[in-house]
Amino acid sequence: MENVLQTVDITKKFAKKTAVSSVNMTIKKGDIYGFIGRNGAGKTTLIKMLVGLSSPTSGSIELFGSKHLNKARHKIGTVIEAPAFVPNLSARQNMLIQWKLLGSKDKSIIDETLKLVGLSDVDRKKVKKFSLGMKQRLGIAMTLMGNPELLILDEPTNGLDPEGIIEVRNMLKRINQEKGLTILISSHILGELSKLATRYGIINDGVLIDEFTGDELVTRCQSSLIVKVNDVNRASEVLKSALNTDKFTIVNENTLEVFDFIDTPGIVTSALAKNNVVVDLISKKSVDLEEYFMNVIGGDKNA
Amino acid sequence: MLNVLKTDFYKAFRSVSFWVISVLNVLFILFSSFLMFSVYVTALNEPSDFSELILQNVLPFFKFIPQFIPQCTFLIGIFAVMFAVSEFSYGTIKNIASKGYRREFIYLSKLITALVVAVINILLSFATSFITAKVMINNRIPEFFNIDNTFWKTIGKYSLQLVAYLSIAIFLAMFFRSLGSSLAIFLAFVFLESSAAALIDKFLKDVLNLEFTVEPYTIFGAFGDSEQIIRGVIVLIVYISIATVVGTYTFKQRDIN
Repeated sequence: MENVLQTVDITKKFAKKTAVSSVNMTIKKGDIYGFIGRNGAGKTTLIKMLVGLSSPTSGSIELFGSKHLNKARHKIGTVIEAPAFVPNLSARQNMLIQWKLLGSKDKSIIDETLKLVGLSDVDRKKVKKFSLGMKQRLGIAMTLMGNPELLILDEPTNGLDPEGIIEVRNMLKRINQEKGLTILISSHILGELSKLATRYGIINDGVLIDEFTGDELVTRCQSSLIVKVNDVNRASEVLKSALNTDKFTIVNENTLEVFDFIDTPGIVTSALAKNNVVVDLISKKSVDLEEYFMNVIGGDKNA
Repeated sequence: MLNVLKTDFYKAFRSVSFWVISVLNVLFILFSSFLMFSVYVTALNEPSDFSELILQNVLPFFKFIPQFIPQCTFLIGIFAVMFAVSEFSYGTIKNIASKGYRREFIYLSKLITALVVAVINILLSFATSFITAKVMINNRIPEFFNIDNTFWKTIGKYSLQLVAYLSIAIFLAMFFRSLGSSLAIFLAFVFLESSAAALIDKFLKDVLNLEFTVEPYTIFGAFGDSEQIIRGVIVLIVYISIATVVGTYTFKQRDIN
């Protein structure tokens, strides 16, 4: 699949800090790329370099297979940190500014986009009177003007109520599926991100420490059974001989983690009991994106 | 470039500051014109030796009116600073820069928009003053509305000074990116430029015993010597070029936050 965005060793150094260090990021056409990192990890700095608000200290960026970035950036819709508007103008007037900026021909796209984000009935209201959620929707509407091929959204669900979050998620999914739009989305709500993203990148202290697909995440976060027994060596033999599985690890002297028979723990209990292994506890363990992220960055830090 | 210019025009003419400054400008010119023409009307209505003297030294309309350009500079400069800084305070500069438009175009678009607003305000001033003069004086003073050959030259000189001040205003706004500091420095520059030049000239003469004066090399005093028009034009073009080149360069080099 063709690359929409590729960075090669992109680095951004400030006077005393390296905010982004040799990041090699690849986003393929049609991806919904969840970009994860705690505050100050370098997400926004990297995004700013991608959209041209900041120049890299070293490294290169390729957009839509081209290094002519200014031209390629016409095909990107962006909301960085917070959507930006002229507050004393209405939603429609702000959309008109974006429409003029893009040099679009057909004005009906303004109405269509406002309808898409559910703001068509408040299009003449001044933006300064909008709630945070309405501003987020208008910000997304502005990014959708001009039929972009790549959306870069930094925390697009900030300030939205649960209903708004679901609406935005469904909208992004729809435009991704219907229009084949590629989306780079950074969010702190990792549970939400896991319902949307098809690929992930984790950045920590300016370094892209991991990149993986949604399927890989499922594998990495797969469920397991935590089995506490009186004799782990005996239990291991039973699992191998009686249940014919080697999908387990010994956690400590009386605990095993079994990655098989997750939906039928009774089979494990029964086999161990029949072979004189005392099962003190058997419980199901599963890891979500949030826990996986915490494990990867190695700490009790906020995403 | 054209798309950026279109959006800047749209934003400028929709901004509250444009309308406030235009209304203030019209009121100020109306008041100034009224005061000026009242003297002539009084002289016409109440004949005396003093009135005779006033009527003998009437400043024709088209000699008087270019004086409004330097007076407009202050208000138009404030508008230019507010307009350019608003892009940073609202964050809308990110919407433009992230679309791949060259930074030079974004910068020049702000300058051109400020110049267009300046032209509109100057035309408004002229129209206001002209209507006031027509209502108050009309044809009562012979040849009052005749255009003499210095009119366009004076307009040209003052306009070039206005462009120089606006170049400084846009440079400050795009450099400091905050209303307080940009406006404070711009106003200090406009109001203190002549005083600072006089002070430097005094220092050069009294302390260093130099005959060199800096006043002709200021925007304010560029056309102080009517014999040195070319020098004045060069001085102002240098100001405009330096402000625009340095402004564009720094805007291009710095990140947008």
